[in-house]
Amino acid sequence: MEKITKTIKKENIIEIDNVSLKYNKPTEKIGTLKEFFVRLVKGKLRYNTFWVLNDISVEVKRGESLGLIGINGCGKTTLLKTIAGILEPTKGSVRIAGSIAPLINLGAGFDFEATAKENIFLNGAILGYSKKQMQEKYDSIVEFSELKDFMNTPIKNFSSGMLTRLGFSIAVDVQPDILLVDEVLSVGDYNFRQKCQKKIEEMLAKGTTLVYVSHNMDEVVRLCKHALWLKDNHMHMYGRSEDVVKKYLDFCNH
Amino acid sequence: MKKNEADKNNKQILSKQERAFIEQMRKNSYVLSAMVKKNFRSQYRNSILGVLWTVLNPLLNMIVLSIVFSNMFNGDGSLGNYPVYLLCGNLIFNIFRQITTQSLDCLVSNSDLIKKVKISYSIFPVSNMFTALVNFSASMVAMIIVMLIVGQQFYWTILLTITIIPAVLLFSLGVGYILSSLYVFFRDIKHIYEVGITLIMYMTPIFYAKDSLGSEFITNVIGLNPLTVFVTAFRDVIQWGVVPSGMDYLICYAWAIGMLVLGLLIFKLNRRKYILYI
Repeated sequence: MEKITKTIKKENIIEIDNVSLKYNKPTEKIGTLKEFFVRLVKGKLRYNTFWVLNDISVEVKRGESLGLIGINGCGKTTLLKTIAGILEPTKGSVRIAGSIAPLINLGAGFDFEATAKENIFLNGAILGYSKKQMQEKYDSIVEFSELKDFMNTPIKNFSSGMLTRLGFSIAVDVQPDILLVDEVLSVGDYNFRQKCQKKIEEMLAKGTTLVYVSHNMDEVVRLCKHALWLKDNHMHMYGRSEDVVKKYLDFCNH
Repeated sequence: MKKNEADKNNKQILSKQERAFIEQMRKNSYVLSAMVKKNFRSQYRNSILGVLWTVLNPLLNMIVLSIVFSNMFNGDGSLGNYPVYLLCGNLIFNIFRQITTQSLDCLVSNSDLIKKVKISYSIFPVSNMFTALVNFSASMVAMIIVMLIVGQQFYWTILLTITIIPAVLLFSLGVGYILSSLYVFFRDIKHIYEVGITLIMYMTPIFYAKDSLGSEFITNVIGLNPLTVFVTAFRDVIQWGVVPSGMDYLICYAWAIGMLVLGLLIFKLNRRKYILYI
């Protein structure tokens, strides 16, 4: 049960409030029985913990977009997953007002022995759509994916590009309030990438809020009003995306 | 018009949380059916006879066991029609075995989903439960074939099967929740449970009579095994045409609900940790 201590402000669509998240860092594998008991006594059996997010607070207003930047392993994807509700914060709270479409990991739960058609329905169910919704969406998903001739093929025969297309087409066939994007667009061929970008921009034009993780700084500046720079799992800088990106690039080129 | 008004009233009566809950259930039921379908697809993938195996498997098993044990345990005929006796025990035990062994590693084997999408974890053991239910229904076809062949009398009480099976399902689900939760933290459970399930099988009167093992102590232990209670009740309605007593039902459902509550409690208690360990 989540304790709701505060209600979300009217103008905000995402409120992240002092969020910290503790994660387990797997230690090396235990090789012998002796080692096992040594660790058991020390209480360090399998995992060391560390804080992957430390006291993150940020608010996103309705219709505005947020870019998350930082070097690999600084917690960007973890923060995105926390917003999506896949991970629960250890401390603090996340408040959301609206529907979310996470484009974080595409094609979760794909059954590789099943056909593309079966997988569209399976994946749709997993993403939380009803059967009726999926039946309505099916045609437009197929059309967007441009994989019409392969709908009855088991997806184990698909190339990785085709899989991404399929996953993306299922995930993106919505008009969500919030869109979470994690660099999924860097795959697929040139044409499809253009198409995805166009689709996302269409959504933004309709007032969807975007939270965007990327290493492409031009994109971040172009798409997002504000940016958050995460460094060593802490908030390092927050502000207008031009300013944050400039500082970040200075830091990187230093 | 009246219906609309009633709907409106209904909506007002239901609080926001309740409506959210109902909506969640509706969504979950679709995920569930998709997962059960997936289970079946993978179960009979690339086999020529496919889904026919759900009927054939218990049939062939029963034939093997009855050839081996028929004279050993039913020399005096006190167990009635031995193939039917055997099949009753086997079907109930198979429900339990399927649900528990499949649930054991369900969190770990679905780590892909758990790490990538927002999904209610408790749905995985439930999907195993429904898979087992479908398997059981197919096995009942085998049961009826056997009853016809061996000339077992049919009683109306066979219909009472549907009052007993839910208890078996819920009990097994409870055990499944506990095992799946523990397995995330102690992978050794898998090997322990392999031995455990064999022990449980021999402690359940599947191919022998409850009191035929010659020791009062063992008879008592077997009697305490909840699976014995389920098997006995199932045999009552199939084999003997006896309606189980109120006490029998009480014991069946006390075990079922008790185990389910305990299982859910343990499962929910560790809920937030799973994603970190799988």
